[in-house]
Amino acid sequence: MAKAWSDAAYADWLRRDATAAIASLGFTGRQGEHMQAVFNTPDTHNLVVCTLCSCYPWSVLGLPPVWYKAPPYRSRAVIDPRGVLEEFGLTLPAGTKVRVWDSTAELRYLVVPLRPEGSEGLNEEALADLVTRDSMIGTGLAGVPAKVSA
Amino acid sequence: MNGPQDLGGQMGFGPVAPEQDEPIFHADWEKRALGVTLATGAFGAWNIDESRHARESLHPATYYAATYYEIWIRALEVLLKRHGFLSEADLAAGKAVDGAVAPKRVLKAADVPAVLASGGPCDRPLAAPARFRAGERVRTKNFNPTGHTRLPRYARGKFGTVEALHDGFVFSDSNAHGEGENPERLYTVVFDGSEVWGEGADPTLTVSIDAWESYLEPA
Repeated sequence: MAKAWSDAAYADWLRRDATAAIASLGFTGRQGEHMQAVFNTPDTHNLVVCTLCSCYPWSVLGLPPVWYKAPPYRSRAVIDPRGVLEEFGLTLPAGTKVRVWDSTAELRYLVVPLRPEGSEGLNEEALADLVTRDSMIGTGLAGVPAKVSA
Repeated sequence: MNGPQDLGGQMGFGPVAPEQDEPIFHADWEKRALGVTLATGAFGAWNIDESRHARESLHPATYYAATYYEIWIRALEVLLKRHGFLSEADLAAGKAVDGAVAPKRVLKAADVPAVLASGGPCDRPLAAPARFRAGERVRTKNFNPTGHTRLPRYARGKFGTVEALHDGFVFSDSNAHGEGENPERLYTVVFDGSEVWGEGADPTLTVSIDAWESYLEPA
């Protein structure tokens, strides 16, 4: 994510061929064979779910958390995503569009969160610290740099 | 099948309960459940679609009362019995008492990292041209198959727009039943929230699924 924020060519590669772009960083393997990156924009927030089972990009994010596999999230993410996000402490502006990706086949989705405001001067390593697992599922946002929030 | 797994839009399960700093496993047996599932999957006797179908074929009361690894293990019992690796007597005794089929392949501990790292791609080359193009309006099939399908109930018989075309992919609906891979082109189809959920739907919501070509008809 940090590389996508700081390297436009990489971001473009991630958009076109996420499997290869992610593999170039060493993340390959089971449940990550067919990756798709979906980019948050100022007006659209993306959220990933698997309503039918527990499809999740193991090779990138590890094994899914219990809540991702459990009925409350799987049932409500597609019908009431804003309510679900509230339970993660995330309130989206009323005008933000919400796009939910139901992983019904073997494509595995990864959300590219928006680069946080105030992170302009940070290098890739510092940017990487702002990326959380939840921000790549869509149940969170990338963090705010400490020096800005302080 | 319209089984307990098809959760999209169901109600009554309560709030999502994210855990702070959740552990990867909540009990030692969960590690074992994951390991046994991967190791027996490596026998090559069934595929991922058959195992998903075994899970969704559990009785709904069992499925909803179980944790996810428990769902896996209960379904694994079904698969192991179906393919001759385990008997009721074995289960009752808690150890092997009956003769069992020898696995075609055995995953050795030393090979696990390489097997996990290589994964199992399920895209397949297709000779046929795509039936639908990006931007085209389509309607999803309305059906209620008793076998495995990856078209959720909430997205059946709905009008949507093809957003992206993908490669051919193994067709889960037949592959789950030993009826072959029968690859079909996959499409990302996006629906307005109001098309899927009707009155009261979040006006800012769109939902997409990945749909095999035979799930779709021209709108």
